Amino acid sequence: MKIKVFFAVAFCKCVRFLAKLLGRGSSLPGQLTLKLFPDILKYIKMPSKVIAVTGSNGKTSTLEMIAHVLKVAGLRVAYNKEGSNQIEGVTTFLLSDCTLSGKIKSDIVIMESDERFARHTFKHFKPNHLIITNLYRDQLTRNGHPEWVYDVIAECMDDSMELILNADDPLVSKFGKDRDKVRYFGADKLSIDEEENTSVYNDGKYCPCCKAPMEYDYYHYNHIGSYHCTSCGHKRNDTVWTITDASLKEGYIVVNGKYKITLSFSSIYHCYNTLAAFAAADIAGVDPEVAAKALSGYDLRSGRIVEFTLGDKQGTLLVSKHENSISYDQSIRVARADKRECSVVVMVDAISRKYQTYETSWLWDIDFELLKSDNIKEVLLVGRYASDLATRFSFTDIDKEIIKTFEDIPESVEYLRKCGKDYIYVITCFSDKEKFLTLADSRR
Amino acid sequence: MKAKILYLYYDIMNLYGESGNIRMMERVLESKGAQVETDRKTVTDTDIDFTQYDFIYCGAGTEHSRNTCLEHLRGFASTLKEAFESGVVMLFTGNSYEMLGDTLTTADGTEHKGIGLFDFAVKEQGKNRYSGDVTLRCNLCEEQFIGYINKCSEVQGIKTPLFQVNCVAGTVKEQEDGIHEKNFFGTQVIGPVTVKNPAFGEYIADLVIKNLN
Repeated sequence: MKIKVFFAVAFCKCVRFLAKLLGRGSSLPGQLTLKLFPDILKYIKMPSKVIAVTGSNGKTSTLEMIAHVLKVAGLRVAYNKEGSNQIEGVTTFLLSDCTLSGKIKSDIVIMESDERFARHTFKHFKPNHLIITNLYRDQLTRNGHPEWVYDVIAECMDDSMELILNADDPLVSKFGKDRDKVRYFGADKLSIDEEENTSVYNDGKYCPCCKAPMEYDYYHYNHIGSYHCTSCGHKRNDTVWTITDASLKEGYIVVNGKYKITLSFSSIYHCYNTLAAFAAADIAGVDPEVAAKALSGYDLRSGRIVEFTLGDKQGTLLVSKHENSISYDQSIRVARADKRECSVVVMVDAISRKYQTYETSWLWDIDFELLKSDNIKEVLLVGRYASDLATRFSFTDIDKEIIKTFEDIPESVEYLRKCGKDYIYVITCFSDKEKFLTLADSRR
Repeated sequence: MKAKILYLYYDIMNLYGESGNIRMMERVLESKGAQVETDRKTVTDTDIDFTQYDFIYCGAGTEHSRNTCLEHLRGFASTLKEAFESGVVMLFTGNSYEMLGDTLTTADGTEHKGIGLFDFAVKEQGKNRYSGDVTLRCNLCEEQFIGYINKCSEVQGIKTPLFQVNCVAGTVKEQEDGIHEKNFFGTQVIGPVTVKNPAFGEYIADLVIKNLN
């Protein structure tokens, strides 16, 4: 067995070295290693702490922040920093961190796992703690729907694992039902909360356990909030890690009443990701003071928010996710909250960079109505799906005069360069963002 | 000329942007001169009379939600049958029409009795989604029908399918899709199908208008 581990680790490291030279991705070494040694992860000696993150949104950002805090606290951390979150990428980063006898060198392993692939990744080893951020309508073309994903994630769990769940998401917190090893994080009632859900749909309207109607005391956004089922008793659980105060305007959150963390980017989902990172740091034994300080003002490197210039115009590209209406709703709220006169670009050119689909139903789940706002002076619908967007927008109350349609991306950029308003927001996906940014003069 | 629309299970069978169908049908019917009034009914309602409506629409939901709706719909089966027999125009997309057959067997093996409008049998499994972009043909419109299927079931025993499957990019196996009897149109295609297929939307709207006259 030792020989097998030796060869697997050596093989993976060699392929990784060559792959890096050739500029190949971080999945390939793991993929080839798994072909030769399919159960190799069973034989890797993990450190005493292994923390995994899964869910629809926020995995990469949360993981990056956890890694940052742990490093600041002086721990050696192994993690999938390139975001390859299926079993191949996980195998690559784990074996790269191993001694030739198969022992992880770092003090702690943290990883994000694709929600659909957790059952494969965690077949041969289990994380001690599994953080689940949220379950939204996301990439339904390959995911089916959130309840389907719930069942798929459940397949990776066993009683040894402690679940760290978002208490404010009714479907996520269902994982904690009748379970001993579970703790929750979430937000108390905040000044930004709403009593009504004004989104296009409400996935919290019916209980995920029994489908009886649920009641909400308040919504933080979409179906995230404080809820209880009118029939089976499923409800928001008490939280160990809690946002007790927050201001998106001033850009901070307060955790557990005493740890103030300033935010480099003011959005409610960033608050949750930061909280989840704080919880993970606590689990890893980092002093909360140190964690709060390390998280304060932390700028995400994963490029979800990119500032750019176009001639004398400035703007921000908000990386959203196609096929994920909540991520769009969140980006729209950011643009809406800006006081300057804004041009807003909604760009859909390729639905996915990973697979081919032409499915556009998700456009009807996005609350584009929110772009009707005094600060938003024009809306540009851009890319191959500009006509689909235009049809969707024809069903909103947004003044038709301010909507412009560009199938050609460079044409829209030229227009913005000449006629853009004081500030530009671009709302689009990973798959499309470079098509815009390569035409910008600078980016940060 | 007044057209009454029912958006059935609007808040629970709306998984893939299906509200777009209601908005589109309202717009098309209005453009044809109808004054449109839309009712929304759901699983907590106790007073549904399907015979009151000129157009009834229901969209797709999770399997669990669909089962909940099936139990609720059972209480109103007789007026639904009456409306169907009298030629009320109905469009059911995604897995919603699966409620209306003879039996529905879920992934855990439970057999639910269907509403019995039709005599097909539905069998679900919990391992794979059958999904993909599709193009379909029917003899109601000249244009190809486009859309996306996202399901985990197989339907047996449909004698009058709505569509012939033309092309699939994905894991959908069937050669035929949906069901068409009287003025009932059921398809496994999800989402705002009348937006993506304006000619089909027009055809449905014309049937509604014909009934009104």
